[in-house]
Amino acid sequence: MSDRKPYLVMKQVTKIFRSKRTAYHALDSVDLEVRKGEFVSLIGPSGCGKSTLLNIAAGLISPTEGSVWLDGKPVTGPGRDRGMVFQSHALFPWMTVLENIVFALECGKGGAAGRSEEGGWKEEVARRYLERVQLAHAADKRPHEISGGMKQRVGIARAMAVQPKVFLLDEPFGALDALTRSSLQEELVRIWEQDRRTVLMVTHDIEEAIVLSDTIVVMTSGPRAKVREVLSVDIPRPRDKQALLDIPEYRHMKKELLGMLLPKDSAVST
Amino acid sequence: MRGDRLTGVSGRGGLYSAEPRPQPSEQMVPTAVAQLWKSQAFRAAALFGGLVLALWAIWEAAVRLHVVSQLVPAPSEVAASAVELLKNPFYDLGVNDAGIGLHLLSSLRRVMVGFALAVACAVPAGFWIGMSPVIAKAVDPFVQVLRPVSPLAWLPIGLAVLKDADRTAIFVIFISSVWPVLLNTIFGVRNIPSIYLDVSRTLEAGRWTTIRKVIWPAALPSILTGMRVSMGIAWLVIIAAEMMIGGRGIGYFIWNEWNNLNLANMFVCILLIGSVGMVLDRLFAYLERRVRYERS
Ligand SMILES: Nc1ncnc2c1ncn2[C@@H]1O[C@H](COP(=O)(O)OP(=O)(O)O)[C@@H](O)[C@H]1O
Ligand SMILES: [Mg+2]
Repeated sequence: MSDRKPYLVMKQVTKIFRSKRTAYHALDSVDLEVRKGEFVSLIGPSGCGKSTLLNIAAGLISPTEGSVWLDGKPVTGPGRDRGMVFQSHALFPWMTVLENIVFALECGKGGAAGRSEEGGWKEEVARRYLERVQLAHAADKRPHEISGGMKQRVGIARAMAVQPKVFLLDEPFGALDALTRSSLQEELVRIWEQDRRTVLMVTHDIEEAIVLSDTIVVMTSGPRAKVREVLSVDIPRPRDKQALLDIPEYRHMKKELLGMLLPKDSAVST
Repeated sequence: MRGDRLTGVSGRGGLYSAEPRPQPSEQMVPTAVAQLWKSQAFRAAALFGGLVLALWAIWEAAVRLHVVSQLVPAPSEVAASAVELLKNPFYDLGVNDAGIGLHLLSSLRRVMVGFALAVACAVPAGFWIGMSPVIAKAVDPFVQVLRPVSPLAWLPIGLAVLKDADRTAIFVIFISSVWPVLLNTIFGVRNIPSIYLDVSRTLEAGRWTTIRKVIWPAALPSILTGMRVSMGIAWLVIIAAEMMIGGRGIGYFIWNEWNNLNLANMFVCILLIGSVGMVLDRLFAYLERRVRYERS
């Protein structure tokens, strides 16, 4: 379903956090490839360096060693070709929902002139993105007036508004309750199916990874975290969460991932 | 009426938010008073009234019974003076004889000008310092040494350099106002959650856009807190400054009444200064609330 050619590539990425006295070797020679149109989940024990890796892909953190490539060009800093969705939604509280999206549009090449690259007024374009996450009715609300799930949808709409080559999502549903999370997962799939943009998503939720991804990248625990395994999910789409429970492949995969992620090493050592 | 307990202090709705009340009739009156008494705001107001009366009575008695110095006026005399002073506050019969309102306006003008100049300097400087660690380190010694100096210490220098009483007063107000605004602006700019700047960077927002649309609104509540503190200090300092430079101004007015040994007028002045200070503080508290945003 996706191009064979790697699109987002992380080569031998190492990250050492240094402070005055200490150094923490977080990532050690991580290699990662995401093909165009592919939905890749990054899963691993908490604290292993998933966010660090994603932030390096975003250009917000620079790697100690190694390099990041997107569509054949090196990544040297943050940019609009990568749309970031933060776990803590990171909407500006002093702007309305709509203004948050307009801000994302304004920062583009067209500047604050009102017209956006796609034609049409920025506000109309912003409204269209809100419609795509079914939040047109909340346009004039402030972030603190809407629910956590709605905030995260605005965050997704904001990332879509810059029309990035790849979406980077850092545990986008991590802070939500199970029901909201389920419905947002469905919504994300629905949106993703529309144009199949490339996605790299961090998660700690095994089911979420299986339901959403084409490929699951499992990391080892830190320090010196590496890629432990790359699994491809061969369950046909659309994947219905309830129907999945009856598919042996799903159960098998879940078991395999649980085996990798449960901290059995520590269980032995204690 | 349990809900009143929550709204009690502001008193909003306290007296009027009762359940549908029976139509007032002769025998209902005691019930209405009992209802009213349950309201916290009403009881506070009643207590306030009681305190005022008690203070008035004790003070009046102390003066009548010659417990205190002969110079101390009775509250009734103070009230009479207040009526006298406020009857025609804006008369102007030359340099040494002007209404209390003119003195007050003169002080307010100096405070506003000095304060505005301080804000105009301190806010941009605060952004500049707050956004660059290097500049912050370089400027820090100046701030550390100059901030603890009483603004009044600058007064003689002001007089020597500016050679003008009015400008010196404004200069002293400028010095008083500049530090809280500067420090709070630096604090506000420096303490912006880094995630907001990350968003700005991933969207490739320009430097100017980031300052205008992200850093400015994020720091604004802190800046207004600084302005509120500054205004409070400026209003304290202007009285002292005007006592020293003379001419026109509410501080000089008080000083002059000392020369006249008119304590009644001085008490009126003190109440007036306090009231104006309170109004200014309320104003900035309101602005502070307006720009505050809900962290979510
Ligand atoms: N700025 C930093 N300075 C020092 N250590 C850091 C910094 N950021 C992350 N770390 C450390 O790197 C490790 C990986 O963090 P993170 O990427 O947030 O993990 P994850 O997202 O997988 O839970 C953690 O042990 C964390 O303490
Ligand atoms: Mg994380």
